[in-house]
Amino acid sequence: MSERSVCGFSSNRQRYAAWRRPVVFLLLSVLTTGSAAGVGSPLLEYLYIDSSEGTSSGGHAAIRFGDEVFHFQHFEPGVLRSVKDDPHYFRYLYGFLENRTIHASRIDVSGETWQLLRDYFNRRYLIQKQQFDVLQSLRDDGALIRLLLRRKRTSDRSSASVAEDSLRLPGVGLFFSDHIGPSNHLSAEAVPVGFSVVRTSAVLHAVRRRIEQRYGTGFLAARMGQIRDRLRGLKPTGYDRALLSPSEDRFSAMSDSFAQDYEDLMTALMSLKALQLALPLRSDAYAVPRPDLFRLAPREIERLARYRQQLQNDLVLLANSRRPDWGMAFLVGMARLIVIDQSVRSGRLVFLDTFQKGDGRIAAEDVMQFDDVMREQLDDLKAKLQEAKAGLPASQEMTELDYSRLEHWSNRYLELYTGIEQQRPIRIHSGHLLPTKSAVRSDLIVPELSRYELDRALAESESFHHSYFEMLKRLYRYNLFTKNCVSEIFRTIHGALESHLGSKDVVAEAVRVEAESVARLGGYLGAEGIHFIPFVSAHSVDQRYDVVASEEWPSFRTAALRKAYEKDAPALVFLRESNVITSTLYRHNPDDSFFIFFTDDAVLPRPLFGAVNSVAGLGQSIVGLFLAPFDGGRVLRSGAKGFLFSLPELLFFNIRKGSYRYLPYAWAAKG
Amino acid sequence: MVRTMNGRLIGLAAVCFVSGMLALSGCSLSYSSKSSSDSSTASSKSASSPFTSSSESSSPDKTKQYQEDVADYTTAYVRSSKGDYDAFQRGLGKIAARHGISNWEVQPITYYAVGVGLKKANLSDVQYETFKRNFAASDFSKMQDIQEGYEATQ
Repeated sequence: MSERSVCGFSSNRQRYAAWRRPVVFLLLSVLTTGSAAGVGSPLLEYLYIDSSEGTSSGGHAAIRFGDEVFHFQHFEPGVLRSVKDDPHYFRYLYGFLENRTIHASRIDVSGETWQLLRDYFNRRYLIQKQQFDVLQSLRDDGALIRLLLRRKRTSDRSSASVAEDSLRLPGVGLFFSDHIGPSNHLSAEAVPVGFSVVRTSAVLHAVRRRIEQRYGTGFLAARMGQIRDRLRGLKPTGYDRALLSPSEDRFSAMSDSFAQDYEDLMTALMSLKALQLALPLRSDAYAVPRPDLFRLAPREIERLARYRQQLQNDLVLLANSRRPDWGMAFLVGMARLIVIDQSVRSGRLVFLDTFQKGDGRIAAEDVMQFDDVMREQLDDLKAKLQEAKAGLPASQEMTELDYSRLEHWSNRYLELYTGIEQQRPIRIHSGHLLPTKSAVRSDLIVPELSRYELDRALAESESFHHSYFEMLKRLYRYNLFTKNCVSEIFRTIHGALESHLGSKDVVAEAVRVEAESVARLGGYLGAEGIHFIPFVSAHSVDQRYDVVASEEWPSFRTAALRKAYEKDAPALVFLRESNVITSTLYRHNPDDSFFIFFTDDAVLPRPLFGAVNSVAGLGQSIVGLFLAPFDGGRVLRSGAKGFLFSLPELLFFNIRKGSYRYLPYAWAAKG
Repeated sequence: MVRTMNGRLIGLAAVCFVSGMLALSGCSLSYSSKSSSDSSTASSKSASSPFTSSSESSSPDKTKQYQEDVADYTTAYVRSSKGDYDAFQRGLGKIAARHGISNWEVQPITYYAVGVGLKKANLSDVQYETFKRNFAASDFSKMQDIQEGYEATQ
């Protein structure tokens, strides 16, 4: 069957192969086209994202500063949070997976204005992040105190083996298994005398020797003793009342978290225990991959060997560090040292597993169904891995950043490779993670706190958690009209200008902010009014700010359609791609509501297509009613959503675009 | 006929209402993969793809990103907190971890970036010197790295 087959179902590979390269070319040209703004002016863009049925059905907005995109998202339970993304990742999520066109309005600003606004957006982002970290700390404090109380109430020591009296310790799983039971020889509370493990790590023996040479033979035992003493004497210190007055402009007043202190100390103790016993890595903590891609060239081996030496030196210093969370870094460092040593000796890259328990997975059925997409992505990961392996100039020494990149791409590549080859689920995670495999341990050192002290600490922790959470919800509460993804962008811009002006007179300040906005951005847009509607805001920005260029980042399907129209007869393309049954550019996504016709590119027939879609949605809803007791209402929901999002089409409005579950990230990243 | 007209008007009104609500909803139906009380994420939707990473960039960019994040964090922290060094170091550890760095103490760029951040915070000379000395634990080379970042920033 040729690529030009009429109304036929082509294979998945043929479907995508037909227009893949032209689409990439088109995307490249769109994403890399320079604007009409002056050469050298910093990139500041207001982004409007088309509506669609998934997230942000009315559209979305964001602001881009060079290689950072800030936007605001609605999180449960009704708070608006700042999010920062890489522009390619942003394009990938919204333009590709959600299949929405993004409209970029480039605003001409001076370097100083750009920096002022960018720094302020980032500061707000960091502050909010810290505030929610504090919220988590308060919750963790409560959880730990409850655990300690349960232990106090248990008279029979062995019943402390139940899982709820155990704690998950990050990083500890690199060397220790889960331990939910009576204490054993690996207990934190006892140093085994004459205990021998069948296999020990020569690498850790060497590290221990160096530490003892530097700090003395009694150093390890003394440090472990100090940590145990601190654990036993650890007490919750209460909270600053200033914590209950969070502000968007400053970090929350929380220095010590009882749970964090406890975790840091237990992790440090376990790290020294691992060193003391020279434990080997757990077999599930690392990978010894077979593909030839992981063979190391002599130059790469040499570089790793030098980094191995540097890492050993760093670990010796780290053993005496005063930073509170040094234990985790020590565990990771020791684990990395072991695998790097194995890599150098074997000539093949061995690396730690960075995936975490609880990471999401792509189901095996999807791996098989989207085999072509997975393989395309695998090619890209291969290129990134090769670059990470060989990318450093010979004269440059490897740093932890460099090694971490190598570890990151190795994990991603191997996971996808193995998933495709074995047709098994693929683990996924977002961002760059440290290899901090955790373990659940019940052999904990219990602080010497009375039940009265614990009860009082728990009451205070719960009270503060509840009040602080309410304060944060109030501070960041989402509101359709006054505090949403659009209004917050303008409010933050005004906040930046306000902070720069520094006046305390509110009325005069408002006037000056407006004047400042006009001077720096070419105009002023209040956070009030109907600008809260995303597509209205985009139009307002174009009208009032100093917009020097506008650019469209076509959605995935739009770009593909344009190329298809260039290749094939328009009437044929229109008929073929107008519906989900014969379309070669869309693959059914169960996350989408039920619909028959695409209406985003069909204006005149939109009401007719919308009518068909509405009937289809209604029909599916009726079927779903009968199926509800068996499928939990899944078909009913899909049909109802389908009907709902089809209604605007009757009046020539389009919201739904169809979305994609899997697309190669490389297509967005190439821009 | 009047009943038919009324029915049609009601239907049209319903369609307009639904369309309007959907169009106006903006980000009100934004995806939230996690609760806001789970502080570990303020990240974009990424649940269903293996191909996502908001920090995929080339080596020089990653170093620059790390430096900027540390500098920005330093600025925000010293302007708004009481100067608890343990808490500052914990926050630094989290930022470093997001970049795949566990042992930030041995990375000179960490101290350089802190210097950049201290400059941006517009501290007095006394405040700056105090912070520099305390954070670097009077280690000469670390203080020097901080000073370099401080002086390199306008």
